[in-house]
Amino acid sequence: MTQGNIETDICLVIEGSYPFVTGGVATWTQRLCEYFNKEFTFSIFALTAGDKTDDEMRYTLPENVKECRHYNLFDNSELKAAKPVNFDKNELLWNYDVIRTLISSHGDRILKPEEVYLLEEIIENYQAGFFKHFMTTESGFKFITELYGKTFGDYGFLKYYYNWRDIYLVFSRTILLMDKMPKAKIYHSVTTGFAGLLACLQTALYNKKSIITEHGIYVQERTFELSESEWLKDFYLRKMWIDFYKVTSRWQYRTVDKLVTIFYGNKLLEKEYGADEERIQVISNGINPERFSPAIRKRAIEKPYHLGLVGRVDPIKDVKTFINAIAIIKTLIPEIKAWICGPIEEDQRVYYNECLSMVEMLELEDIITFTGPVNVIDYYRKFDVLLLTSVKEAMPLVVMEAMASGLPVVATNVGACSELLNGIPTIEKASALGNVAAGEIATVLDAYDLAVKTVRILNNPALANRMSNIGIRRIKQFYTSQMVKDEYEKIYTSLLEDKQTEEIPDLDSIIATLKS
Amino acid sequence: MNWLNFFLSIIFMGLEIHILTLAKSSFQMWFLLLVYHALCTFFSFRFFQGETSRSVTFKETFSSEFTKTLLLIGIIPVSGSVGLLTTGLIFKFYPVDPLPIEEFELLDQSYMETYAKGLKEYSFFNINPGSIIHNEISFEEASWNLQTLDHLEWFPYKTKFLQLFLEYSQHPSIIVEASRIINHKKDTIIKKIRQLDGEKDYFSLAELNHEIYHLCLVCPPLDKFYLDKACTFILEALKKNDADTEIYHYAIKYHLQNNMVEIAEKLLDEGNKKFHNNSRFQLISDIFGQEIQFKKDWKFS
Repeated sequence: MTQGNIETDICLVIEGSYPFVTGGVATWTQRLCEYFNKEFTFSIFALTAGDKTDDEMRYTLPENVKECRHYNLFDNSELKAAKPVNFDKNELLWNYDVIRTLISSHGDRILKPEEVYLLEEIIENYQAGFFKHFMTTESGFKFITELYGKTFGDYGFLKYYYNWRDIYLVFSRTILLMDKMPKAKIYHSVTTGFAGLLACLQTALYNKKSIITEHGIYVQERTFELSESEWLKDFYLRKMWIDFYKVTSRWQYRTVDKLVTIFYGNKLLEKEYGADEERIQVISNGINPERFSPAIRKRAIEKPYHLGLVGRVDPIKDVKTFINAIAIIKTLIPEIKAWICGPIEEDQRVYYNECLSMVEMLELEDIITFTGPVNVIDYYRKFDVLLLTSVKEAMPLVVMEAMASGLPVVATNVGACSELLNGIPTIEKASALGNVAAGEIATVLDAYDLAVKTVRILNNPALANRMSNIGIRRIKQFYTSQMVKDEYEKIYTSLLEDKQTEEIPDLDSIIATLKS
Repeated sequence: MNWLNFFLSIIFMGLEIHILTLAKSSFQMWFLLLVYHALCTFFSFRFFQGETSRSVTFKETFSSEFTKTLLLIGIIPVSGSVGLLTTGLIFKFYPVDPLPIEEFELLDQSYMETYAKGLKEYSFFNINPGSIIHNEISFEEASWNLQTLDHLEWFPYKTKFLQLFLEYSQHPSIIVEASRIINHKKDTIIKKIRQLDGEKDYFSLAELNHEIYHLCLVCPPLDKFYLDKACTFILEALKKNDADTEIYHYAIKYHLQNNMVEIAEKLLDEGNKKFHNNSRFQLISDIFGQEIQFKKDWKFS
């Protein structure tokens, strides 16, 4: 897509996902644009992990997406080519003072005027030369050694330096990308991290409106990746990265105009990482329940019972625990059939073969069938209970779809499963649903727990059908795509209409005072 | 004659070095040195007895000076070990604490806090189940403990700890990591089982199936499945090699764990008849006998 100079209503700032990678967040982004096909115009600003071309896009952009820009977050060619800026002595001392305070305390407050001024100067005037200064000059090196002495002085400098350099390169690249962002009235990031940093800088520097919708908790996901990484073994080096993510996320939580998450469990985690609970709004994902009405029928009334797992064959879906659960259920109710409906990706062939071996080992060949990709609505009609054995989920679409199909669900206690099946006490208290369960929650990896709870539903058709009704009603009441659209429309409209009540401070006079 | 002496000395020195390299401890070195010097002297004595016109007596050769010198040389290698032993014993049995207890209180509190923090960050698995159940540990602490746990040897409580994380942790990444650790271990064992399937190595197959049960890698109804398999394979292994006392013991143990008391008793009787002269087998059999009696009394089978 061409790069124009159009100002759109909303710029979606995305990191490592849409439109190049398929998945939950990417699908959500696509739907968000489609919801507002007539109401708002969008532009996409995508940060990628490598150089990408438009041909590599995995989604067809909706008509209201007027512009799509994508940049490699790890491309340092601009910094390499730049010449370091030479500051006079006073400028140098002032810059270093500002950066010192910025590094030490920005996580717990909004930016100070002098920090805003410096960042604006970097973006508009100094550009890459400013960052090059710290990498090549003697004074820059002194500044780094000073930081080192204050933070990790007990550990080796060499490793510290190269680690600092890695963080610095990505950070400086992010700041330099500010200049390349499309013009928009609202900057909406789908995560904290570098995308969120860009959206929040738009608010901090240019008084634009910003929103962050956090699907998974960015700091946790990165911390987990770092602890798994082979290249970062030393704990203090890992801590440098984690601290960086934590502090920037905390700053974003304070700076952003609207902080949204998709379920209440995430809200608690965001609070743990420094977000103000009162500022967090929960907007769940939604589906169109009418699409699943053909799948509605009475459950657990006729043997053999059909049990299903809908999802790709992947370790994160823990298909092996599903197989184990079926083996246990078989000993209690022999007349069952189990279906695993989902694609088998090429890179998961080994896992698929292990699952087949397990089916053979547990002598379940006559019971379990791997269907591959199918029309899920047919299978939702066939099943008596849906099992979700995943070890990680955010807000699983499959549970919402099953509930809309009137299918009781037994799910592991991950993501929003508990909220979906048991309801949210504070919200449903007054409603007719009264927190009645639409399924059962089991412990992750515990096939016995899953099996026992499934058998309880199968042996009690009245319970199964009560769950079925509750599921249908809960989806219609709380989780429709129309509701998601309405909520975001309210946010977008209020932010667009929100006049700049805060006066932008007269920076020049403040800076002059500070410099004197 | 002088030249002959010179060459002999060279040969003896070479031999001495060679012999000393054979020693594996300071005691052996000391012993070899003494024996070697004594042999050399004896050899010289016999040699010079033939060479000189007058006969050299045994007493003249092993003069008191020579014996003292020999003992002195012998003391050199042993002195280090004896010195160390003496120092150690003095410290061990010295009646007074080397540092008055008040000295500990004089240590800077902040230093102690820093030290404790450092220890926590660096060191080992330090967690109690209650803190996981009540969700009192932060994500970082849980993550650190999981990493430490991952590097520990497998034991049943390792799985129990991981299961606590799975059940009670509020952090999605912790759940993913804990499940990864358990699944990895389970998959490794199952992979080995499948590799051995065609080889008819029944003893290894029994051990591996039993390991899944023993390490609590699967939930209760399924662990019976693996224990049954372990029992079947161990009986096959016994058919193949019934002269091995170890296989008998494993067979009795597995069947007892599987509450198959009658088969375990039958195996124990067979073993007792076959290895009635083997004291080790008998010793362990007594323990199994008591367990069989206990299980029979409480009707476990």
